[in-house]
Amino acid sequence: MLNFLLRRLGFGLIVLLLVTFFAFILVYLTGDPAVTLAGMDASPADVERIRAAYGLDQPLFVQYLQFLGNALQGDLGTSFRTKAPVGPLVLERLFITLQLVLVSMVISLGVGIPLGVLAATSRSRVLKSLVTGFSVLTVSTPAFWAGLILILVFADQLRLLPASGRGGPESFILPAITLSLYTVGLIIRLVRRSLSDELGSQYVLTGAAKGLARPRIVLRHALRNALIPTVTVVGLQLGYVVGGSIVVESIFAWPGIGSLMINSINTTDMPVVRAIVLVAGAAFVIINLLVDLSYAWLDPKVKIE
Amino acid sequence: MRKRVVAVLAAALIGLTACSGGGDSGGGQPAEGSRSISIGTPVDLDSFDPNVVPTGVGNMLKQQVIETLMTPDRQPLLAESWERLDDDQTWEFTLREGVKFTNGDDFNAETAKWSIERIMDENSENSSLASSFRNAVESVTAVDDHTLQIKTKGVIPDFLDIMPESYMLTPAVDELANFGQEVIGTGAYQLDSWSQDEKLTLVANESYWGDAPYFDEVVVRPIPESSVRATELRSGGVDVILGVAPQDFSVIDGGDTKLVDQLSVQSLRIHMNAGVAPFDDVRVRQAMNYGMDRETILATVLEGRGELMSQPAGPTIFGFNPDIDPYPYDPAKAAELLAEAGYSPENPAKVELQLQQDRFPGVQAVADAMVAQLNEVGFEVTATMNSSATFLSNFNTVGNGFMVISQEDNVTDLMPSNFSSLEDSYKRYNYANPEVDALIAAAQSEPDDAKREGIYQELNQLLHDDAPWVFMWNPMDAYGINTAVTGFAPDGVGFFYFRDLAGA
Repeated sequence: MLNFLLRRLGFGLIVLLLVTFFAFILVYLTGDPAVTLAGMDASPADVERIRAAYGLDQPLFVQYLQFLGNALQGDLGTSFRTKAPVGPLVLERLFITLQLVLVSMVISLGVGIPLGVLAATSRSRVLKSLVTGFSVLTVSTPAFWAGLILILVFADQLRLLPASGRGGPESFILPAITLSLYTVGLIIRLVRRSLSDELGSQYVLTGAAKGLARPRIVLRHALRNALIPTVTVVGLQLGYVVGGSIVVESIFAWPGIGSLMINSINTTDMPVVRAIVLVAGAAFVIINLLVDLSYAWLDPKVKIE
Repeated sequence: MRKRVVAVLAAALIGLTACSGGGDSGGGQPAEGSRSISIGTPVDLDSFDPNVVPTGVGNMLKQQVIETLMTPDRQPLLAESWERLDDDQTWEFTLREGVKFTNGDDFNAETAKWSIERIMDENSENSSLASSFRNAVESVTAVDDHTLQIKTKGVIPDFLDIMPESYMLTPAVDELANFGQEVIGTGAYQLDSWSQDEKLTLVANESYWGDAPYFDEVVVRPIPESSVRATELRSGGVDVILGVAPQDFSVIDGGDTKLVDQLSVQSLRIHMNAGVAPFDDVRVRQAMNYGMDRETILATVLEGRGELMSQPAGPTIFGFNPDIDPYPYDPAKAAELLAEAGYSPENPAKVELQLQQDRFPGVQAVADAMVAQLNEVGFEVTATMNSSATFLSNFNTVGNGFMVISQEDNVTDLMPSNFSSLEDSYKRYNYANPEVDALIAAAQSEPDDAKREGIYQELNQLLHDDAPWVFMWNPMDAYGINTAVTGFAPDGVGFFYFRDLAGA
């Protein structure tokens, strides 16, 4: 167990090293940061002065090592844009995004699991096709389109919900639904497939033969087992949901890590971009690890070595 | 099952709002009896510090809190009057008395001197602001408490061009933990709270030297997506929006909301690299101007919202020459000029055009139409869309044509850095014409306003003929407001004072 953990953490570190290195190079591909920082009116001399002031005149390799050294000491640098320390800024925005992600996960599970169960157990073919159709629709609807349509309907026409911004509980509804669309569809399919498999298995037949009520068999026994793969996928999906929040946040003017990322790229605020990549990379690594561990915990047959 | 899901969801939502700190409602609920207005903008402010490069709305937002010696339209603000002394090099400003900063500091000639020297600080990151002051200001003297003298480097008749950006601060800003995120000013509003990319709240400055503003509170919300901004306006989430996209015009005009138009001082133009073929030949540059039907492109893509440019200066800029007509669309003439310059269908004039995506709505459609028309007359145009960062760093290094939409609201900003080969500037794109250099130098040292205007008009004519740019158009800025809002009159750079706004 300990061996496994150490090995996975070691791999995680390598992944993070690679991810931050690529983030470093990719930022340069979008243009010379000194030129962007200096602005359109700057003379070549101004550009050189800014390059030196931000340490951008150092070789890329040196800059990267400096970044790594500081990051190891917990210092992610200072934002070019706001002159504020990057670490607290990124964590604050990450927290705002996680609130949204959490609500969207609650919606995904709350809608996805019951519908998945319905699709797996219902005897009505119409109902089954309706649910399947719904899951295909939600999986394949692009978030930016769905978001705008939801805004048009609920904010513009019905005036029920705010169109954008972060405020009271009502302000979570539209962005969280938009963010949950893909995962809802995914969960419906997963639950439907794995529950159907479970329902065909020996222990379900045994239960039925013993005279257990059908709802009890489905919910207490089969669903529990069917949820194991769902948990795995949902956990892995969590990282992608954070990524998807970039689109959703810019539509709904949600001040989370996604909008911070976009604004930082647009203003060539490299310390912030790097920190977000580092934090997001670390989150992926940790989530993956937790998913692996939870799998073993949910299913005693799985042994971790 | 369903019921329980709803209950869980509701509980989760309530729990989350509790941890998010409650109070920050998106709409910004005002306290009872107070008047609040909210404004939706495409981007947020980065910093209140004038020495940081501003975002698109940066200068406008900053100047609600930090005041300048004169307003953008050259009206008295913290300076009550000014005059040029007899040596033509010294400007004397009489400063307003009884003005206090929000921390209680007095505004006087010493703080004004300190502020101007701060703008010129060698560590300023706002190089365009810093260099415009550094190039012009020789020394600043506080003559007495309310008299400030600025000596210019030589005779600079257009010196006042830079004064609308003379941000007046108190030395106490240096003691703030993070000046830029915090601010001290003399303006009608002061900073109440700011959560970046979410909401900036300004409240009326109770010790303001002028009339108290109508609104006690102004909430500025960055809403990047233009259609969402329009929806926020229509549904009453905000009262004013900046930057309305063409597809939302019809939605906004009607009911409780209306569209406000203002011809922008911005100009859309293509800088051509005059240092390399084919643009080293004036005939090719003219052919670019004759070869595209800008009027039709403007009418179809942007619903005619803009005015065709005839010269570098826009109609509101000093030295604008009203006698110059825009280049007409004349494909035959364009083809002829190209032939004269030695280009033919077998040997077309190759243009590599760099464009910036999202710079204005419809940029792709404009580019497509342009490319098609230019290819008709014998050019071979390839157009590349860039992100804003790539766009800037590609300047002068990639391609030979560069479509820019830029904002120069006075002749000092406009002429030297764009056209004088004596300047060390990226914008010039290797353009060098001794005649132009001479005219710019002559104008810059001519103290007589009428004569100077004449020289600038001559310069505009010369630049029209020599065509270092493809002159496209001055666009129309579109704003949306709630019909209950009065006093909203932005100028050509999108500037307006929140203190001028009122409610019906």
